[in-house]
Amino acid sequence: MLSASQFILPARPFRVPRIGTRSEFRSSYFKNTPPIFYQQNWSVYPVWKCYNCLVDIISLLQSKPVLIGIHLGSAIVGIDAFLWLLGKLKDNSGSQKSRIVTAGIGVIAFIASWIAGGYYYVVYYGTIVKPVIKSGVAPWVHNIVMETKEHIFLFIIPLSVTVFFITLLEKDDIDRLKIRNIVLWLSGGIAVLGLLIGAMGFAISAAARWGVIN
Amino acid sequence: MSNNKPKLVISSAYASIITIVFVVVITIWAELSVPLKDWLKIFSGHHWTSKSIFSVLLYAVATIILYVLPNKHGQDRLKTILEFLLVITLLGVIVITLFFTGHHFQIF
Repeated sequence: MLSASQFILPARPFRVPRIGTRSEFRSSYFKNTPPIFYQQNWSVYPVWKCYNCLVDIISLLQSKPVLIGIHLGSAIVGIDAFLWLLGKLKDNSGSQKSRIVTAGIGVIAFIASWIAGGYYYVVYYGTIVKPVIKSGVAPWVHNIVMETKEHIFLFIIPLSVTVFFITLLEKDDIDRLKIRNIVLWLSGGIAVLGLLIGAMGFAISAAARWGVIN
Repeated sequence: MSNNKPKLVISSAYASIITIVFVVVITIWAELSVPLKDWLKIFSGHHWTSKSIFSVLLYAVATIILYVLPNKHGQDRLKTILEFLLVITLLGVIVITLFFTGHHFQIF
């Protein structure tokens, strides 16, 4: 005779792989059921729970929407930081410490954007997105826009680190060395380059969407 | 003013110029030379990852070497090198964009 519990609870406890990682985050009712070993050894149950939670966090960070979100969100923070620095330098306002912190946030944000975007590009873009764009209405978007975007992104880190080093100079030294204007241009240039790369990313996403529709 | 800070900025600016030129050259060279692109793919699994690793290493190593070298730069050198960095960045963006546009239309 069938009972409802057979359809609610798993016949055997669901085993979460202990070494292998899942490429996608997936929510499951059964994933929180510990393996038999851990059920029989409740003293190590917190270890399993912690490991399971860690696997979920890693899987979540590796998922496509989260990677894109980190890539774009971090880039926006980086662009805003260098625009903010531009304003501070132009008005000669803010303490030296605040300039260092602003430029530091910008550098860290661009590095995060680079890592997240790079992981997405290497793991998912080539196998999933690129074929859609290449067979869609605008294959040139990959050949010109994506190829340009992925390479000029590599300019941003050295540029932003250089501007970060400039913020280590005292305000008086920046004036004495007569570099205020050029630092304004560099800081603004980083923001413009980030915005340009963002616009390119939008064109790539649009080409992929239209590639799927058509 | 500590003399180390302007020297650090100059070293970083020079290293950035070297890195940007490297990225432009290796990108164009790899598109025109299949063996080079294949080697970049083999090195790390993806040509872009290899370029990223090399560019970061080049920037870091060049900055450290230029900073450690006992060269004395004039104070006016800082402004000139930062202007040069801005120009090289702009040229790098233009060259890469034009190259991939021309490559798409099979001009080269």
